[in-house]
Amino acid sequence: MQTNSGQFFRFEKIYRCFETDGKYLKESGQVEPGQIMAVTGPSGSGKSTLLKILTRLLKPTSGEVFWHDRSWQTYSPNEWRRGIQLVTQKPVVFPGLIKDNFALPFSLKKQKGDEEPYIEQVLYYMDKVGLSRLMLTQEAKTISGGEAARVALIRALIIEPEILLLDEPTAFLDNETRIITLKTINEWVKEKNRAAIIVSHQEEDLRYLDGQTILHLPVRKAV
Amino acid sequence: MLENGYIPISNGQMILSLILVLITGLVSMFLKLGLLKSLAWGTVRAFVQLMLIGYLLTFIFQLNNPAVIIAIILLMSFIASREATRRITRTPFNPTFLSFITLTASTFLVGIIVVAIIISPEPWYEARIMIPIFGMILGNSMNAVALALDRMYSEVYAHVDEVEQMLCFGATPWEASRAYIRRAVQAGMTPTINSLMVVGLVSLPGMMTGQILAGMDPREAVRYQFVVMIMIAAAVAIACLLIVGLTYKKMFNDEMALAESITNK
Repeated sequence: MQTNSGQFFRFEKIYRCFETDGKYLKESGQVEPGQIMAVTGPSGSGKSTLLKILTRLLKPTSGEVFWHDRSWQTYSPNEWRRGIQLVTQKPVVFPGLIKDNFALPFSLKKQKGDEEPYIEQVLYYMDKVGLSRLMLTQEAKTISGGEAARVALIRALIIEPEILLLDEPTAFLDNETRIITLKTINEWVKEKNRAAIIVSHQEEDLRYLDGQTILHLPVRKAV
Repeated sequence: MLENGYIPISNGQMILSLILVLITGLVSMFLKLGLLKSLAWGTVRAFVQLMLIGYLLTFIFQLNNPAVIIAIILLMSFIASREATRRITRTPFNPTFLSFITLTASTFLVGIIVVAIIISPEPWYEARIMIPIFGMILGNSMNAVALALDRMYSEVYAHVDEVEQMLCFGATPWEASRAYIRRAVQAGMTPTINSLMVVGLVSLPGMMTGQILAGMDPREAVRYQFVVMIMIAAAVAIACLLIVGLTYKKMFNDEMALAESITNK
């Protein structure tokens, strides 16, 4: 991985106006391997929009993103999204068993060649974030919101992206699970030398993330 | 009275049938349904439209010109494709043209097999065989296309989060929407498969009753009906597959992300 400043992952002058109320988003930033960026700001400042743009689910009006110093246009969208993995605020679990949910990202054609030692990883992280191993054979629709949030997080971690985009990963969690989940994310970033961009409402979350940079989004509004 | 095995209805007998309109009218008057005007207008329209199509078909059958037959079938396809997509309003694009391609392709493919290979009249493009057969295929495929399209959009609208999550895993648009496309094809094909199950038990199909009324041996009529039903099933399957295959990508943009007209519901 590159270590020179700004060469790993950076977004430049990402601009996007919201259709309805004249609000807009205009932001630049960068993360390095082993680093966490916390994105804060009031609701309506475009935090989730920024993450969706960074993972190419939403097109910005203008701006460019670079990964390994290469513009996003030089990557195919699915290669990009695999490496820059978004975990949405509302966790998505698919019908079937929880273990099927973990296997799903490895069942895609392009990823068939990927190694699949993921089950040990799954068990490791399940223990870490306080999910019972028995849950693997549970129906996805029977788990709670807080459990689903952690399942979605683990599912993203085992894909081993280089950059993890997390939209309020602790929104559905109680205080205790919130802390162990943040610590797990922190540890993953440090040990694997990856990066994370975390949207958070709660100031307190930041205490559990080491050496993070903070990107504060104000509400910008055109007059 | 029995000529060629069927009993013709004369003009006088047809006028006699207006007694039946009178009965309908009396019901409407008695209960003050306010349907008299529509009933009168409907009766006149039905009479005029059927007379016109009767003369037109006679003319076309006599002409028996392959170019004319193909032109008529294309026109029928066009009308069917407009009808199939008329009530589908929330698509991010206009599906009429792709429906036309779908209906024309599936109808010709299956229709030609049935007419030229199975029924094989002399000449093979015989208008009195081609037009009703292609018409039956079109009518059914039209409904199937409408059901499949509507179902595909409603499924994807209802599962935007799931589709986007699949895209995040690195899925292609096809992989991300496959589960919903499958349900759409199922929705389009189910009525036809169901009708295969109950035919002869719950209903006698119009074509078969028509042939029986026209004096055909019922054992002959059922053979025709069987061919027609499996032909419709094949055409419907092809039409459903084609329409979703041609249109699902239109729900995505050039970045392989869901179109904003879908995510901004």
